[in-house]
Amino acid sequence: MDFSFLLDPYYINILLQGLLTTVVLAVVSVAFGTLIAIGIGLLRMMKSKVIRFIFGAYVEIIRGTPIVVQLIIFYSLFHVNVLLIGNYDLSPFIPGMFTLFINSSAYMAEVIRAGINSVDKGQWEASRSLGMTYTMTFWKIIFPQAIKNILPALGNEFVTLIKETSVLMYSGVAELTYQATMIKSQTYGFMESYLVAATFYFLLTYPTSQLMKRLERRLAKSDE
Amino acid sequence: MKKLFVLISIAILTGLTTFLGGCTSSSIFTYIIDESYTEFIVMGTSADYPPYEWPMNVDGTQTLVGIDIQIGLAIAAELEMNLQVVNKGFDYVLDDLSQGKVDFVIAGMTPTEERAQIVDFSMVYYEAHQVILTTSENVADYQTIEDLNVNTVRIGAQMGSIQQDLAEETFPLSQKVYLQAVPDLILKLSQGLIEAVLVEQPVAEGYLSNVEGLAILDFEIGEPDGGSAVAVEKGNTELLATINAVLEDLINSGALDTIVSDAIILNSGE
Amino acid sequence: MMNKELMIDVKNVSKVFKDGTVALDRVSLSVKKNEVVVLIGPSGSGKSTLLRTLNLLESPTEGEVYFEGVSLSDESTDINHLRQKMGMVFQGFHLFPHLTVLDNLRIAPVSLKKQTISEATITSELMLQKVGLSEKAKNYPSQLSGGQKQRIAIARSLTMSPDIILFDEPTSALDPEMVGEVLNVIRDLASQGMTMVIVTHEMQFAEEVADIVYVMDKGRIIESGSPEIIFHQPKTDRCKEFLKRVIEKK
Repeated sequence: MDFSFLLDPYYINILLQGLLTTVVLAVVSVAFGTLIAIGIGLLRMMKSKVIRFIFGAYVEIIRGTPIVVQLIIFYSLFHVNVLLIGNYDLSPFIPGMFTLFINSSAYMAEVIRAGINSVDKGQWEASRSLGMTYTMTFWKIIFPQAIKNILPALGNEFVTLIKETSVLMYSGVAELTYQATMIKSQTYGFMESYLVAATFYFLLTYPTSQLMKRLERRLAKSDE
Repeated sequence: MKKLFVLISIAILTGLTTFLGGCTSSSIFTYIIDESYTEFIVMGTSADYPPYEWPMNVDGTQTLVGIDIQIGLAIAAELEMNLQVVNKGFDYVLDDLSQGKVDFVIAGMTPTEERAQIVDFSMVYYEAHQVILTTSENVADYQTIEDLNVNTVRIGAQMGSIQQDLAEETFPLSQKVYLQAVPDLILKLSQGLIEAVLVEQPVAEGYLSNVEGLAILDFEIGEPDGGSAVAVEKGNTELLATINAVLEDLINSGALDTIVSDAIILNSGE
Repeated sequence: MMNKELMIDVKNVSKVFKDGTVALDRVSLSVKKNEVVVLIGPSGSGKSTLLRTLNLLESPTEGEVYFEGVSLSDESTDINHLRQKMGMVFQGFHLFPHLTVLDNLRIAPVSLKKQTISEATITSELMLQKVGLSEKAKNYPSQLSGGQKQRIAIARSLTMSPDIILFDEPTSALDPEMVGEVLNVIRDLASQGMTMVIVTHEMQFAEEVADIVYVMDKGRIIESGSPEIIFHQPKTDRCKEFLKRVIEKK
């Protein structure tokens, strides 16, 4: 196998640009996905059965269908014309980001729900029996404890998203896998290009998951 | 609430990074044909298909080259516009065309009946034929496929190409030699290390005129693939007329042949 | 008809769970101001369930519970408001792990706007003194022993100046050597006139501190009376049996 293309700054440049796009996509998707997910989590706690059903269905459907299919659907729905902003073509970027947000929000909504439910029921009881209201109890007692459970899962979602951004490759978003394909077309190094791309992904995900593991351990310790 | 702040600031930061964009990380390739042209016409393609379209390092910048790119440039020039080429997966490109996000698509696309239901096709601008290139001395020995399909004959083709698949199919008994670059195959042919090379016709013609002692065998290998055509959004008759005019001109003037062989040679040289 | 002199009046309360279990079967009892009421009985007899209907942690399927003359199940009743006047101490302590001891005590009065932060701090420090744990104000619950946690839990309910405190097996989850420190605190509260309803297995302590004892079995009150009678001259056979088993265990 011939990895000599790695010595050529032309190719390194291409790879790094792809890497940057991947990171940007992942970070923004997790950030907005989580915000949306918190919103969904709160909505699902409301009394209205209709609201609970709608958002419950949303979560189930998004989690239950492949992201590739979701991308194709959203891509067809979004009529954004080819528009270059800061060297990003918005035409696939917007539906791509949208797909990632939506996907991330559904998984995060489940994580948040699980995180909230995993807080011991006794905490609710102790707080309510002091006379604190439902809302007070949720925000001051339950949610801070739920975050301890949610944060590690948040980190995992970030790692997952970093990899999932590769789904946008075919739609024309110039992320890492797309660039690897471009390199492959030029160097004919099929295996080499993708091995290098895989390595780059790993260089992103491994430190992140290690950081998350450390965070988990620290949070678990403080509970003893 | 501190954590919410962190989340929001991350979001803002990344929003900024998104828009600052950084380097030329994009799937859109811009060709300025003439500084005075004010508008862009947008072409869609899927640049993983040499010699029709593929990416190359041109003066340090990643550029798309190939037959289809040249045709796109000719169309833009005719319309007195600059060209933007959008590169993505083939299915997405067709979707773009039907939504009007690109004006036309050139992607080595064969005009099938199914596709004709969703887009309008131009005339076929190129049809690929595969031929056998050999030395002048060998011509008499190899008059038919069976003559070549024997254990003692060594046939060369470009690695990873359709010619490779074709060679496997058509000459199962021959020895096969697959190399990355066609020039290497031609060299071996001249040195007598292989007896025949399976290549696309324009390539063969190109070497015929440039290298001594070669000849093209009289019969075709494999079936023609139906050719390639340009696609426009259904009903866009005006643009289609312009495109057909440009294609006719290119074909009749011989410019298309040059475009094709240039592209094939450019690709083979790698 | 509700009796205004009673702090708590339970009238014919039944509780049937969704799976059909009958936890409480037409139970009635009452608690007067300054009284210490103790509920005893075998496991599954419904004592905890009964206690929890008093602050509506459980809703009766039938019957009514009145607190200071107000019906808990009435739609217009603001249960949060009533709960501010009732403290509860749980078997599992349920201190808020993400808050310091001091914050655990302050959070309710401050959030409910009953006191300013400085007022709440003073009250909390007083309560910590009362339970003998002033030095632990800045600690986190995870740094405390079981007995200390429970004492903090009691202090927490005291900062709201409740009219009554409910205790749900306060020492059952404690190692034996820590039981005493918690019982001491409860004893002190009793001697200071705090109205209390206590569910416990500590029979000696029950006899010491109770004004009235209710014995429960299978969701019903099988006997009630003064500790002297219940512990030494129980009337019903079931009661006698239960006490025999309990005392034999010791």
